[in-house]
Amino acid sequence: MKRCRRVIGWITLPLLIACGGNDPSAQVERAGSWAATTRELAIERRVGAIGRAYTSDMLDAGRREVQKVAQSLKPSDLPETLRARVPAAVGRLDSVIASTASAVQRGDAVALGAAAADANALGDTLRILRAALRVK
Amino acid sequence: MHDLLDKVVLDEGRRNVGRVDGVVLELRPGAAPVVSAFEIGGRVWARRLHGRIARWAVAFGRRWPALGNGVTRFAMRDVRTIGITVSVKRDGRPTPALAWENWLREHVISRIPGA
Amino acid sequence: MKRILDLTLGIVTSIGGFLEAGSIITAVQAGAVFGYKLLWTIALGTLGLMLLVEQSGRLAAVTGRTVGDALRERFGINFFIIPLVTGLLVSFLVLASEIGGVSLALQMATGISFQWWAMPVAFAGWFLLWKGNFGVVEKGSSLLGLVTIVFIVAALKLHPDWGRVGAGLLPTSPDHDGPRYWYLAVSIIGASISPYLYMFYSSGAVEDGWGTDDLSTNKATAVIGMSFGGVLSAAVLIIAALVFLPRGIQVDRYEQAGLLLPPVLGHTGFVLFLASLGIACFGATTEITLAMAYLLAQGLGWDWSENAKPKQNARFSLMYTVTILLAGVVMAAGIDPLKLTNFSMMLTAASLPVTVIPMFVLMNDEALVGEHRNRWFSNAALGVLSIVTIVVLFSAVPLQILGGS
Repeated sequence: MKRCRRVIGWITLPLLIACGGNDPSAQVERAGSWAATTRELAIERRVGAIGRAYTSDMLDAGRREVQKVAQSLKPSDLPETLRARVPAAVGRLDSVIASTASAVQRGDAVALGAAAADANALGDTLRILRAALRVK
Repeated sequence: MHDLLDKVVLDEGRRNVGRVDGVVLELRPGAAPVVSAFEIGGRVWARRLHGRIARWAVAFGRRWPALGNGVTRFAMRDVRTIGITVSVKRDGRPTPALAWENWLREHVISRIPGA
Repeated sequence: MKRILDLTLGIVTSIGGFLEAGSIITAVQAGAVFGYKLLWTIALGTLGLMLLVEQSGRLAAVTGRTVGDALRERFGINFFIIPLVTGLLVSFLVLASEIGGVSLALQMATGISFQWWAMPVAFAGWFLLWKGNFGVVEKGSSLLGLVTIVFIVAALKLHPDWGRVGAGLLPTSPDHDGPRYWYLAVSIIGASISPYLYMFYSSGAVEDGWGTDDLSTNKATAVIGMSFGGVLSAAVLIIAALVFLPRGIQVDRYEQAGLLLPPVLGHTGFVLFLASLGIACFGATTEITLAMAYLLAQGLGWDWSENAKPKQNARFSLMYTVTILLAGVVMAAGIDPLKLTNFSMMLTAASLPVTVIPMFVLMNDEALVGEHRNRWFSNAALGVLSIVTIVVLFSAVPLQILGGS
């Protein structure tokens, strides 16, 4: 029985390390992916290619994922020059996703177009930030 | 013996009874042991796997006797042919090997529409 | 004439049955992160599956025994218990993820959470197995599965650089994110060479009463059918490489894959993606459930036949009923479909040696298959495959830890 417990410990320890040790560049990449997803959702919804339920669900999921990224980014993980910029960009992404979601609810095509542009710009920003993080 | 083990057993009506899970050896003084019968049953193949698993199987059978299948034995004289499958001359339906199959058919499966 | 009809049907069923939750999402992830670079794993997996399907079909046609029968009869219960237990465990997880796939397609179409769809989907699958026979199950879902040809249409419409696509067919090492690359490589192999596929195939061959004169049909079905299936997976990867990669979209949630076709085929693309996902996964649901029940029933010597009425195989019918409903419960409980799918693909890949290596022995056993035993080419290929599966087995745990999310 004791040996069983030790084996389980050996297996879970590296798993915990792996899950806990998310490097910030991977997290920023995830945020960037959701910026791109939001942009695509806005574009496709605007032309009616995808369903409203699907778009709303995806945007909700996106907000949850981006909030998870925001929570997992600790200032100590980030280099000083980026310590303010990265969380700011992630925070802006959260609000862009939120406004995209409300545009979908209202059926506001113009707002959707604007949201797509915002998401696009944020995606670029996050891409630059990620590249900067990988260099460090 | 290995010609027998794990083969599908068909009864006189070409009905599927189960697989040969174990053999019974008859020890004769001064001569090689001979296969006198074979057995079908969960307990039987559990024995071949590992001692501990076999003990669990027996304990399981004792605790919930209704769930265990019991052991079905066919003597070698009941065997008609041994080929890809083993044919026996008896009727397999009343044997313990098919007890679960029969019980489930009557009490569960038939109750569900479309069976 | 009948031979040609059989062949066409066989190929058609193979195409329709190839894509499922795992092969779709691993291909999407691979294309979105690594472009064409992982195409060689799809090719490798498809070749491996082709090999195993042809051999399992040949085994059934020549001996009248299925792979399950043969594993028990040739190796005895002491060995058989290993592929039995691993096969059932791994297949159960894959089954749950397939039910998840259908449920997700319904969620994406209706907005109702996949958790609510899980049990209805499981019941629908059960109903098809209960009332239908083998022909209906196999051909029905496979003919409907032809909807997946939309992926080929979309891939062609995107005008990929075929030179670079071809380059992806050669194994290369990644220039970034190594652990993730190999994680996906292994997962794709697991998604392509699902053991339930070739075990199911041999049971089907016996249900359909194949004999030695069906051997050439078998070979053609295996080669052409599986190739088409591999082409389908490759198409999904190519689309992801051309739609997701340039946009920087990576897959964190299974449903993001819904954005794969709309940029190429608009609303029609969205609808056809949902149809493809739902139908392909539903087909896989019924097949895996049957495959699990076949394995257990054949191994323990119960009556088994999807062609017979449930009353005639009480234990077999009960087995598949309990299995599919239990898998439905797992998804109803709300397990993340993407994580479960990725994990079960990894697990499948790791468990491959247990069924692949015995095929080696079976197909060379003269007492069993006689003059139809493997030629040197099949043996060489099977040998290489066996080595690959062993390498995969040893790399699975570290990869799951390092490369899994």
